[in-house]
Amino acid sequence: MWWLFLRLVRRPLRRFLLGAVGVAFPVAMLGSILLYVDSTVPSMTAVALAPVQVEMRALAGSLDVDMTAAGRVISQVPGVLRVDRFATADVIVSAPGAAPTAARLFAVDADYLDHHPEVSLSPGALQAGAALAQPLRDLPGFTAATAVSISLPVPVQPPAPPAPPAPVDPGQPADEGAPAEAPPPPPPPWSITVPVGGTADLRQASTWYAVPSGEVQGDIAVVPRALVIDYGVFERSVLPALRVAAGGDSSWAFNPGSTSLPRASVEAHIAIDHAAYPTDPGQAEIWAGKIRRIIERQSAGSVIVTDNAAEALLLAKADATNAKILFILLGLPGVLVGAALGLAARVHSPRPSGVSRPCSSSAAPPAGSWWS
Amino acid sequence: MVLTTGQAAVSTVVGSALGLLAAAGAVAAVTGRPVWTQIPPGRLGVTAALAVGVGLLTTAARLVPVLRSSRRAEVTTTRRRLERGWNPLWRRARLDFVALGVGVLVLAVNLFAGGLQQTPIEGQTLALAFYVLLAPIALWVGTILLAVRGLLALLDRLTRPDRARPLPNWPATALRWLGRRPARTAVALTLGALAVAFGTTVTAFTATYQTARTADRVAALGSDLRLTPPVDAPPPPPVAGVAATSPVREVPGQVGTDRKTIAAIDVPTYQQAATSRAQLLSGQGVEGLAQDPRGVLINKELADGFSVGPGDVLPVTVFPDDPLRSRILPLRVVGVFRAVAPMDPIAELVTSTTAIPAPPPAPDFYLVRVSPGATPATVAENLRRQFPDSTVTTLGTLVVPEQRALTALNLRGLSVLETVAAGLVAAVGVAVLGAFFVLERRRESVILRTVGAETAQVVTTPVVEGAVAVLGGLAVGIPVGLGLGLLSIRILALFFTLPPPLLVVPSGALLALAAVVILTSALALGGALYRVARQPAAAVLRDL
Repeated sequence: MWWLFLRLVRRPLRRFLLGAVGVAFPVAMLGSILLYVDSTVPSMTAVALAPVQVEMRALAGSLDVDMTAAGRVISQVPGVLRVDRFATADVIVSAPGAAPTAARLFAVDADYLDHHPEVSLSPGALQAGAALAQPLRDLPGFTAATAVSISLPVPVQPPAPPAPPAPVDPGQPADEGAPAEAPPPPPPPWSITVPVGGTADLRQASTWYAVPSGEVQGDIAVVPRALVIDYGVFERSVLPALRVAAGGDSSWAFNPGSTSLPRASVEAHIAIDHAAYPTDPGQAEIWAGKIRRIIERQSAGSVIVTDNAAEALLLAKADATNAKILFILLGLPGVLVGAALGLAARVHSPRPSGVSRPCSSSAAPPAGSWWS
Repeated sequence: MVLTTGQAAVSTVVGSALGLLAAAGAVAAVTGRPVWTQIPPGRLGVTAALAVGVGLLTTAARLVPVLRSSRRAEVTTTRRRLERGWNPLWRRARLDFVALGVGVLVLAVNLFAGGLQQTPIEGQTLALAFYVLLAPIALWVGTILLAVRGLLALLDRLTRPDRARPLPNWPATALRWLGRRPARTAVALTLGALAVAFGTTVTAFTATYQTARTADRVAALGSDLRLTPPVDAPPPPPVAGVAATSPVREVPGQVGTDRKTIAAIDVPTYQQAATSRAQLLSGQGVEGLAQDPRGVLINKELADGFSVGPGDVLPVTVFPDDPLRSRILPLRVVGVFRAVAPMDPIAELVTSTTAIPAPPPAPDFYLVRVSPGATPATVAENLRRQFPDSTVTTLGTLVVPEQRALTALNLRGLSVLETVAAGLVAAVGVAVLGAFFVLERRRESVILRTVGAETAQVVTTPVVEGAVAVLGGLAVGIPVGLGLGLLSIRILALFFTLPPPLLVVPSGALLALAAVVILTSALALGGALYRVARQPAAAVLRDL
């Protein structure tokens, strides 16, 4: 049997090759479409991630969390490229000759600016003091100010020290004989004065104004009057006052029910290596979710991580599916016509010499033809 | 039966391997990188399996009728063939009418469901909307088979034996021959027309996609150039080559509880500087803002969400997060837009700067229109030199953060792949079947020579039949392909900001496709005729 089989393959070699080419056509058509789709989809992940300024934000659950230590832990997570410290607070800014005005305070390290071109500060502004956003600078009194005072909207009340328990004589009424002590005078409102180091252009820094969590996460709440200071200054001077003002109320820093910016927040802005994301947008979205959970677990619940790239990746995932359907529907006729060619070429190929037709007319194709 | 199956299996394995290699090579050539470096191995495996599956189906489609006929006695098969004559399955089953019906039904369902609406379609809903693309596929099959049916009916009528007239010349003889024995030529014509129509649709789709993409980018930029000054910069002075500039301010706003962005434009200068026309769904455009200083243009989502339209008053809070400047403005809706340039950054509302409480914020950027005769690139260089602290954005450097991945696809590669494949299928289809036709008629050719026919007379029939197949394929395929392209392109309206143009006809690509088909077919036919001419007549006659 095998000798006959081999002979049938070898002798009418052209017919055999024609049969192979007939199969190769639809296979090549569908294969090239699918391979092209597969090689195109990874570009969608890149397109989706390109405009994301900060891939993830680790939000401190309260103002008492040490974000420097948390940042060190986060930076060890695979895929994390960089962790930048970031903080915000609602403050009152005043300058000599200017009315106090509400503003948004941002605090970052100087090297934050190297990684985030969306934020533009005058050279050396952070090292010199505070960089004022132009709308703040435009206010009367701030234009030529060389220093500004920063205070908090809520006066900081230091907690009263607990009174030492006085020895009580059971025979005497407790209040008798003790002179009434006058309450201590209220402490002066907390404030610091920082020199003005330059101007800040925050028009493109949408992440800084994005509501960090909750139902409206990602909504941009623009507070035009803003200033930027060094994170070290914030940590030393502003954060302790904020902690006191918050009085342990964690909703100051993290309030998922809020539809506006938190009154204060300390965060770590996490840059994820784009090369670490899987090339498929769907896989990338799943992978980012895993990384988010790993970071939260490693931070022992002290931070809540929000994924700023998730929405873009979800849309890219849907678009990848759409692109596949589009490509396949566009290319499907090609596959069909390729298969039809394969069938037609095989069926209509001339018989080898010596093989006669049952009918001399070639009007009808041979039996078994798709055409017959 | 075992031998036939075995031979088919081997040809399937070899063919699948050849097909996969060709596919990998073609994609690598188009993308510039080997496929295995771009695609995970698991995905490659799935793709290979699917492609081989199509090869198996092709083999099965060929093998099953052969195996079925082998169970019948040969005399039965011969009788069936003689009784049936040449009446292919699709004609008996009226596949052309069925396919046309399916295509029309799909379009009708879509039409009754409201047509292709851009909003709020997105995500999986968009994927479901792609079912509309099944209509062009069904119409592609139906139209071409119907055209072939018509052609065959015409030939049959002209060459019926009871109407036979004396044959004046060889071409007339060839035509009569064709009318009475149309099988191979009809197959070649059908394949050629299907392939050409497919290639035409894909190239038209891709050309329109590219045009729509460019139009979207132009609308995103809003003008020839964009100048983004530093925060404290004064308005730009007149610059050589600049015809007009117009400031645009992005003002934060809130409608209901939703934060929105309001683009505040300076209407008089905007009308001079904008290069992209507004796409309105109802009401007036920017000219309406000129007439009503408290007017506002809103996008469709906002109009639908808040049930407002032209003439209604929409309370809008400006600077909602700034307690000092926050104010509610009762703005009158003058129009609902699909797109008002600049579309980047996205603004749900567009109003005049005069509607914003004074003092207006500093402009975020300026639209810059170049003077007639000046090129945007040259003017951009001038601006960069003159304002080194500013950012100058051209159409080429524009990065649209909100751009959908579907609008950033590189369809050129797919178009090249599919057009080449279509050309190849058409050319190979016509050429191989034409060559087969010539080779099979070698005995006929030798007999004609023996009775004194000249070479020109001998080749007339194959040349006429080949020309009918090639030119008929192009004549039927190109218009059908353009018509189907017109339908397929409507799907682009779902994900591009601007509605796509009706149809972009890629004349260069179509000419190349036609040239490839004609040239390859001519070469194959010529080669076959040359081979037949060189065959010794005695050897051929001996086989009779």
